[in-house]
Amino acid sequence: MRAVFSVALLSFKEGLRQRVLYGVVLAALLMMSGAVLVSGFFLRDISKVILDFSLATVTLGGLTIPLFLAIHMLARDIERRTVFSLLSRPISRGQYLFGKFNGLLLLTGLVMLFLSIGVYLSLECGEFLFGERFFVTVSWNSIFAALFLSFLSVMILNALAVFWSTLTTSSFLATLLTVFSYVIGHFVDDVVRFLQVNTTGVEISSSIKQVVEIAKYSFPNLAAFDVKSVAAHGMVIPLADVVFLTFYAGIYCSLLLTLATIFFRRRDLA
Amino acid sequence: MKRSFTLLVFFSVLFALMGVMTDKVHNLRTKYLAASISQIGRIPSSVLVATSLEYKGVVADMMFLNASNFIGRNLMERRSPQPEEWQTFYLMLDRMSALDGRFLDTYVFAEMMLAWQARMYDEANSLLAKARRYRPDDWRMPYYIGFNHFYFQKQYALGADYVMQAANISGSPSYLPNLAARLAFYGSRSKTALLFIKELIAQNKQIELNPELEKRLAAFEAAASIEDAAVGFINRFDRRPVNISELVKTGFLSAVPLDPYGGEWRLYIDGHVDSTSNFVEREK
Amino acid sequence: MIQAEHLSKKYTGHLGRKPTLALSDVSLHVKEKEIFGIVGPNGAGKSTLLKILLGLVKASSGIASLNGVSVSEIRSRQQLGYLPENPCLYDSLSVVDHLNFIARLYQLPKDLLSKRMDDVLTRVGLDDVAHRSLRTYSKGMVQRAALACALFTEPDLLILDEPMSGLDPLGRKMVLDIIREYNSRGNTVLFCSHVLNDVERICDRIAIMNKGKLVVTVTPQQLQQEEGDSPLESLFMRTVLEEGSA
Repeated sequence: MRAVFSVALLSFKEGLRQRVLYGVVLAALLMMSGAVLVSGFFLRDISKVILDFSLATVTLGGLTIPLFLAIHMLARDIERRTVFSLLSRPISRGQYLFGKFNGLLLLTGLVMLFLSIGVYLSLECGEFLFGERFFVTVSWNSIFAALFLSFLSVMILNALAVFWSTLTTSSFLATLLTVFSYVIGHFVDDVVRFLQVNTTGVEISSSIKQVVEIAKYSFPNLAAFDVKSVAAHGMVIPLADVVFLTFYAGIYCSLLLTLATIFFRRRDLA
Repeated sequence: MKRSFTLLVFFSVLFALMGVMTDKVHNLRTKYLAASISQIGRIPSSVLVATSLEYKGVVADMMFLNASNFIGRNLMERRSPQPEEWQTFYLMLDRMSALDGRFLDTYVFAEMMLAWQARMYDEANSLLAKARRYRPDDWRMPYYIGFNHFYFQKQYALGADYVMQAANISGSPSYLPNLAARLAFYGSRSKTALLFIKELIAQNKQIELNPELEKRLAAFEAAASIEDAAVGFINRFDRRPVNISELVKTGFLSAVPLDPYGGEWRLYIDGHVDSTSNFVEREK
Repeated sequence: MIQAEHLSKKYTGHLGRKPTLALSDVSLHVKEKEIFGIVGPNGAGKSTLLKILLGLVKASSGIASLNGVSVSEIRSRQQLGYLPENPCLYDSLSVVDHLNFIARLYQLPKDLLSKRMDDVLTRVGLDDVAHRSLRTYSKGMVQRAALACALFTEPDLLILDEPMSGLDPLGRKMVLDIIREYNSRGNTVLFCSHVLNDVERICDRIAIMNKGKLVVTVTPQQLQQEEGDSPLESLFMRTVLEEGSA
């Protein structure tokens, strides 16, 4: 546990020193203020538009951690052999991975928390500019739930980044695979639904159905964590759903990290 | 020192050139944009929904901006969109409703633009029917449908029925039941339209988006005052007024109001009022 | 202190590359309080041997242990300081950040921490730049920072991979002095180097490796008797050339 904590803190510190992070946060805050201004072009659903943009920005900001920083901090850690300075200490491979994952999680949490303040500010700003009557549907409970679920989906992507980094030998490939997993994770649920309904009446070959079925079980259902629209309209997100998804995310991450450890233990760090 | 001066001069010249070019580039693009509309609506809903990942709401918002740009440019250039452009516009609204079913602006646009401007009543109604599924708590959706049936499609009973349904949703304005009754018995088209436009404008932030609507509002205001006078006349004398001047003579109407579209008022035997202008701008 | 029996390492070839035998049947015994040097040409398997001892690379066959604990156990690295060939530190962090990490990992008490940090940083001559990120360091400074990290927990065993590379003569002398002083307090050092001169000067025993094999193990005294002037160099040349032609 101590080893995990030490590694987590070290990578958290390392991540904080990456200037990219500050660029991302700045860009995100700019985007949110842009959203407030743009929302003025809409007719009725102003709070919805502001929330659409600002919640998406929080997610995008969080995503920079698994999609860019994680690769820098993991795949390159292995590529450049900085990992030696950790693994030549009494730290197991599993502890190393779990520590890195937690460091990334801390970073993600910090970035998303910071940007969540931006959500609050842009709503206040919009209310000041356009008047209260366009903001009656705003529900803070739903916004919190949406932000938390978005954090969980980024957490899963962090685990995926760890997983791909241990499996591949190049940081470029790891980035590519993580981005790929992200897209599939959001795509697959819609595709499954499409196949179930099959409105077009086109016959779909069974091999495609099988591929989709495999993807459905091997990639996380990230779309389920996206309740941003629901929150933007101020509708209720049941607590039970949030709890269930929390468990799902926890189990999926544990699964990935276990698998990553199995692969990483067998790997020679020459 | 001399070097940096040269660089500064060089920079200034380039900067000035940039300044001159910026507007030219902007205009260059205008040529292609000229009231065109994004073809994104041609993408099948299922593909669009899946590829929007977790940014469905944002994509819908962006599409709305494009659609509203299209309307705005047409207004500015005083041209009316071609039928196929309206079709693209409709497809776009349809995809928006697929991406974010609760997005109210889509349906407000469907009513304001598709029904009022493009006269695509069936398309507007099908979008609004979708809206009723996603916004069951919103009285405006059946109200809009009802209005379309009554005012544009002249299906009075059906229109009244939808307005009654709207009246049953909590939060609907108190004049709705009364209005539904009026629709059924008097056919007060102008009064209905007036209330409708007022509601549309009151709910929306951007009345300046459509100055056309404001003019129409003034026209309906005038027509509704004649209708109101006629209803008052019937209640007092238990017979229908012969013409508008009779309403003025008996004091129900202080003066014959002006039609902003420049037509002559006509009072029908059933009490409804219209104008020879049909509230349409005359072609010059 | 270090026991290695019949270690072999074969890197499996991926994507059509030929498998390579990096280490074949190497046995090594390093006694306690000894300075043991390994020399050999590039690609002789020195680094692979060290990495097996550190658990970074798994041997294809054979067993190795540090202080009686198998290298496959994390515990074997509890009393170990390692200086990699190319210093592997995080260049966005400072040397103090690294030392703090190690202190947290080994649960060093606070009062001991600050005293030791001062000590070790003074010893490697980085005390006045300790809070700067390593990105601003020269190559030699990074090497010294890595050495500070290796020494920080005052381990029983120090494994150094090319500790003198990238250092100016002054820096080299500093490292040699540190190794000597560290050894004089009863600790064991295993290192490999290209600089035969340095190895000769401080090692108690020297092994020459070539082509994945440990060819010969000698003491400086033996060398002196058998080879005369610059003895290690002539032995080295002879062994490597013989093996090479064989």
